[in-house]
Amino acid sequence: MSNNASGEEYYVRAQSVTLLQGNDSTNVIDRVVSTRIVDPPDSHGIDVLFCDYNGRITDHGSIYKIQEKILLLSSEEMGDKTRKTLIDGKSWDEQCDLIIADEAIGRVSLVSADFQSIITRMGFEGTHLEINKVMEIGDMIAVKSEFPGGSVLDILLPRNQMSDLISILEDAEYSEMSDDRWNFVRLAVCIPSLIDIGGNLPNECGMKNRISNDKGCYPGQEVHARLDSRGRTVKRLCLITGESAISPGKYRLSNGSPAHITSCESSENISYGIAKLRVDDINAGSINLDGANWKVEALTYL
Amino acid sequence: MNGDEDTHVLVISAQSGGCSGYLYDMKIIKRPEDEGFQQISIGGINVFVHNKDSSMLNGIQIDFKETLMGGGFQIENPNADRACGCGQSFG
Repeated sequence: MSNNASGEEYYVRAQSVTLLQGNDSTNVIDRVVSTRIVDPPDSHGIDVLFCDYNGRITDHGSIYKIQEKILLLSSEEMGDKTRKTLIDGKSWDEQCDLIIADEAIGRVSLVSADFQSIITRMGFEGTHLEINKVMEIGDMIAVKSEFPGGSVLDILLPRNQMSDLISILEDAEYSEMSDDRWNFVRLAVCIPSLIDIGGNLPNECGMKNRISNDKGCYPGQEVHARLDSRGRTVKRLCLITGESAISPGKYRLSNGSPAHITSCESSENISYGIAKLRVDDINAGSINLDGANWKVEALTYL
Repeated sequence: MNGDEDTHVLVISAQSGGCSGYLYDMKIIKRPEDEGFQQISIGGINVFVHNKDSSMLNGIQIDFKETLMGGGFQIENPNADRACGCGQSFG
């Protein structure tokens, strides 16, 4: 997939950060996410989906197990609702304390052609970056995540150390992204946002791998199981790439098919967007939208 | 309860999970010291519900049914908007 986001840049991301501690924390989260999180490989992050009873995505996030604690990064928009789901679902005899850490822990996302040199500057010396492997140094952790259009390095750290990190990044000639620039980079790399995936079924978002069909019941499991055995995906999310800008919204393609643009951002005569299209239109490889041609690629997340 | 009625109680609770959002849980345990329970005695058995779950479980009717697919407790919950196919989960 194409990627026009290879400059050395960073973005301070708004995020819901929740810390869970206690012997039953893993079980409390495992019961509500569509992804199996019991017994994950040590120090590995897991991407999870929260769904409603209709199987539709209500939130998404990443879980990191660090020293018997669980760190949950989820969307800023749904953070409080997701936390309420976790608290309401804790049984009276389970040990699980939930700590809101939005103000305490910050997240900086880096895009670069060479992550290794910046992590060496940050003190992760001699460490080899692996996808989804959590690296710890002092109070800081770093995780490299891979998306259909490229990779991002996330640094999580106490907010009071943020200025030190930013100094290191600026010494290394990283520049800070504006919100619009981040949105462009996010789309180029195909990092999903709740705006794109919320309300959709996981298989429509290319996130079938984030469903565990063997973990037992979780909200939405009946629908996911039925889709897995009998379903047919009619519409899917895809990356659209073109030369003109288009606003998010509902459109009709020149062949009459519906198209729902969930996000789009342009920079230097190139535009990236995420759209929900009929599978037949995606398979055609290109679409004509509002008089302009767009290249179309289906999204699949690991 | 095998003669343990004086020392043990039946705790009925709700926890997250299941296809519809919440699952029923029933346990026979030693009388808990936690003061956050409401209790009722039914047929000589003490039934406990934690305050945390009382709004979700208020008014439930518990029956035991033998069916072709196997026997089990069936819970009718007036607070539930929906239940999943297997009847174990509600929301």
